[in-house]
Amino acid sequence: MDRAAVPSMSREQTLSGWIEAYSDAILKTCYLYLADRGQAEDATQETWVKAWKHMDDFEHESIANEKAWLLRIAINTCKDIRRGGWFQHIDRRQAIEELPPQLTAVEPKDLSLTQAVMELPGRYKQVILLYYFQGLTMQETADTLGAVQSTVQRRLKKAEALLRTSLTGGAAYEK
Amino acid sequence: MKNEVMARQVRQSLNATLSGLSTTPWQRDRFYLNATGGYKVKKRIPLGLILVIALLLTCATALAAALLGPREVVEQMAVPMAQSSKQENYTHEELEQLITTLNENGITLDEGSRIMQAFRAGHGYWEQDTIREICFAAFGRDERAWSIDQQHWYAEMMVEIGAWGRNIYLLPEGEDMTVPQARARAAEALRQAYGVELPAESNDQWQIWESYILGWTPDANASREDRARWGFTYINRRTGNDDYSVSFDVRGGQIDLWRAQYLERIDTRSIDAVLDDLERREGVLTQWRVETWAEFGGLIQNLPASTRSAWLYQHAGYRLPPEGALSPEQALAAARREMGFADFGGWIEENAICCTDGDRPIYKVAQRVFYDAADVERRAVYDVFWVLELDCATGEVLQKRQYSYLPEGDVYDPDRDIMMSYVPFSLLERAPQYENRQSALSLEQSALFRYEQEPGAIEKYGEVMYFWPQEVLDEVYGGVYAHPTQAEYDRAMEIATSALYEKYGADALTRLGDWQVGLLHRRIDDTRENNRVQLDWDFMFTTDPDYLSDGYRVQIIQMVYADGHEEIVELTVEHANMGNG
Repeated sequence: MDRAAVPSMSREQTLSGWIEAYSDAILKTCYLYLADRGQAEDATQETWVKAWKHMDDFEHESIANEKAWLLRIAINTCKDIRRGGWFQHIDRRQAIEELPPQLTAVEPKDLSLTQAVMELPGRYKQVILLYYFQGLTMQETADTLGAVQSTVQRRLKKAEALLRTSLTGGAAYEK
Repeated sequence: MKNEVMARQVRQSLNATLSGLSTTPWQRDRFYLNATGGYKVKKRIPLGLILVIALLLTCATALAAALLGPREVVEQMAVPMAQSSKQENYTHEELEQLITTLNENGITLDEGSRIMQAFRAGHGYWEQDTIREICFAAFGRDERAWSIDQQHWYAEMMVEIGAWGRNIYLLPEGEDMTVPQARARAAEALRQAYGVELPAESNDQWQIWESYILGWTPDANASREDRARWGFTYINRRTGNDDYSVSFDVRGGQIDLWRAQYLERIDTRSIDAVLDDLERREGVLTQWRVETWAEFGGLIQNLPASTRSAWLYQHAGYRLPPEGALSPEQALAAARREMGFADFGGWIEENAICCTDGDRPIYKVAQRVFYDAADVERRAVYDVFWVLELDCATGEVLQKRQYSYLPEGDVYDPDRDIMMSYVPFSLLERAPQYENRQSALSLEQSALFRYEQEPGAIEKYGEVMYFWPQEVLDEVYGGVYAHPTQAEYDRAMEIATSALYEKYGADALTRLGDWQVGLLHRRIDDTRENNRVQLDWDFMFTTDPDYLSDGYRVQIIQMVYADGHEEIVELTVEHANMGNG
């Protein structure tokens, strides 16, 4: 899906390829950010509208990885959506329960960890989603967030600590 | 370098939890068309009608004067507003007009609902959810308890605004049974099967959920008559654990009959089984009341303790507080006072357990600051918790210990002792040593989860991982999915097909035609705690391995014990394309 490697691809072909390749990754990231399936789907749609509109900018961006570029759009879209204070009241446990049936076996610890990630404050959740979940490099994560690497490192460290606190503190799933 | 253990754990858990969340080809098509300006899914209405609506909106008082019911407000205002907009959400102004009209007609939306919170915060809200909220106000918050007519009408409105593609909620017509006839048929079927007398309508004892829908059939071109399904579920409000369900086709032919009696008894074969069942009934043990702990203590008294934690539970002497003792609430308050949290404004997670230290009844109180109201940005790291022991009778604090949450190295540390919260401190030192058996397939032993390889596998083998070769699953997921033995597989297939035939008929697979079977299999070694292995089987029988548009999914959770006997803990059979409607 490297557009530079296939210069003859039209904008439509590029977008279509991106949609096929990255829609699920974007939808899941948006869902984890927004904790609402409907809004995550809307954010995914909005991401593609913006990507289409600004596709020509991508080549001039400092960001090298198209996935990172798209995730930056997605995360910024999510930030816009959840700007209102009412968003704090979403019941994330309920949000997980309302997901479509899983295709894989899910253990209690998976649910706990997912919920813990969803409950992280935004700036920590972003680094966990990009760096750990989506597998971006440290530099790509920094580019995506418009931050320097040291900031990302600091946030990661803090995010890990928060996750550990959340997961091991309750000890609800351990016997 | 990445903390690979953390990265793997995050990916694995998030992917497992979100595995059902994916885009459909139809959605991706829509993403593309919407992005490029191809089309908008929402229904359009003629310009003339938009003008009429605009006129109506500017004359909201005219609507108010007519004393509209919720249906009229939705039909005459909410739906046309939605149809006239390219967006899928009402603006704040539109929402204000709607809410004003509703209020003027005596309809009040729940102030705690998301829509009202959004409105009060100056936002708009999604059209679909707004109409749903109006219906909640009108018909009740439990959609399952809506009448056949209400369900049909609501679905019709969803179709009108373009949120749903079609209305599968039917109304009886022509030769169909009427609703009263169908209710009588349902009650009779359950009376014959279970000898239970059920009412025609919901009452103090029975809550009835009824539905009349276009069901799924393998034949996409099946007629309405072939697809129409009545469904009735009766929930026993008094016992809360005795439900009946029946479904039948338009001719009254029975399709499914079901009875659920939840946890009639606790499985007392092992301490862990008791713990599992009580957690299923009461929630996680950190939330148990002292009564549940006392019941737990009684049930496990004479069971073999094969692990250290089991031994500790067994010897903790869980009991009810003796007469004249502090209540659990008073014990928690005493602990808060001791820790300086008496006037704490944040959220403290805490629980109190009554147990016995020697001959002395004590409260174990575990406290953790979950959230400090003053710490709005959550800058603090709440990495400690406290466990106190109090005399049951006097509330005197006998011991107070502080613990750290953060084991070095990993998020999960199976050997970390968490029993200090649940048993007397004195017992911890006395507990015998148990052999620390290594898990046969621990995550530590499995290869690292190489998520970045997944796109390549999808490209090569398709999105439906049920049909990926095992070695590809291994490569991509690093051992998360296990290799069953031939004997294990044969046995699981036998269970799966039997269940499938039982639910959908002996010709269920024959009817499918040229079907294939895909499998995701996990093996969870539980020998250490329970001397058993948990085998999870997720079979997919379908003729369409690309999109799973037909067929059946069978999920089995099977426990296999060291002595060879097996136990089927869960067995679900469903249509494969549930997610696609």
